[in-house]
Amino acid sequence: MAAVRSSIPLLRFAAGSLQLGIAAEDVFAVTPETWTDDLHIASILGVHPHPQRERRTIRLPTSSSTELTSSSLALTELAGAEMAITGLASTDPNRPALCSFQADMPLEVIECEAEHIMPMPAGVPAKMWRPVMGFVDISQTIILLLDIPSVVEALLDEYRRRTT
Amino acid sequence: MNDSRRTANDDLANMVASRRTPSQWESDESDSDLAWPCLLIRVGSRWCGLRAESVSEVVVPEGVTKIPAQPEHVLGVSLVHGRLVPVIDVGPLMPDMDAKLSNPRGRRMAVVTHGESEIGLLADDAKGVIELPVPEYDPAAAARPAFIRGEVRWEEELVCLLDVPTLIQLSIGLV
Repeated sequence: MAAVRSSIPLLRFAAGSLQLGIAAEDVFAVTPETWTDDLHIASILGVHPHPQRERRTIRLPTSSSTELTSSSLALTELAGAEMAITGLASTDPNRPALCSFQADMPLEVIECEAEHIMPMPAGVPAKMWRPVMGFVDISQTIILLLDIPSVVEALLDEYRRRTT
Repeated sequence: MNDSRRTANDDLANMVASRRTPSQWESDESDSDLAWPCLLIRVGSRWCGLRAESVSEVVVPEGVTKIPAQPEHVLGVSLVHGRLVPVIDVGPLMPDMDAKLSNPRGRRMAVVTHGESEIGLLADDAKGVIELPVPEYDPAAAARPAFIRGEVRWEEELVCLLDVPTLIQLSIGLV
């Protein structure tokens, strides 16, 4: 196993009453605009979006690209912002394919210390609760850590299901 | 993402994996006893017995964090003394047995373990540890869920003896 980092930036957001987090450096963009054809992350988690909170669109790359690195760095530089990270949308046809989803506010980038991470409970296989892959305890609030490839796969499955 | 490069998601997954300890299944039950000390819990109108050696503690359940897209019996996880414990409602695993949780205020959670695995079983009530007879062979057992070891009489109640290792495996999807 590769060396373990002592901390990692986490993009924290919500889906209804669920508190969720993904590796921030793998996020391509966060935009305040939302589109009706974008799924809400709640739709793959079996919950309902919060009826009153504002939403943001989170974009994940579905394939690798050198553009990913520069965009991720831009997001990391904005880590100090608490709200409304400005959009990084590009009209470049060569930009990587993106998978977008809506999420509920509040949305922020936090530095997640390794000691606050909690793995699956003992005895629960690591992939049993995918896309949840672990948990973070922040002041007695449990944040569910989502595995990005599992999220992308589930979103694509849901898109296909709805369009057939 | 179908990229062979390591991503931040991989780093996060490594951090999660590094916090895990491996688990191994062991079987240490002895069937030579005539009676077992058991913790009694009530789920709805159904009394259930848990072998005392499998019970690590009984707590008042606090905030349950829901795990998405899980079967009905998996209510989520709860923090118990700083560790995450899956919270299980056995009612959906015992259909047609009157085991429906009904007392949200006085609820208890029995944390049971087998090897490195543990789950928290929600109950409407929990009594102390009593001696229950080892269930005899019952031809009707085949029709019951696999984690029900048998049914025995206690005072005027019929108590389901739950096999904790089987229940743990079944409830967190290992079988």
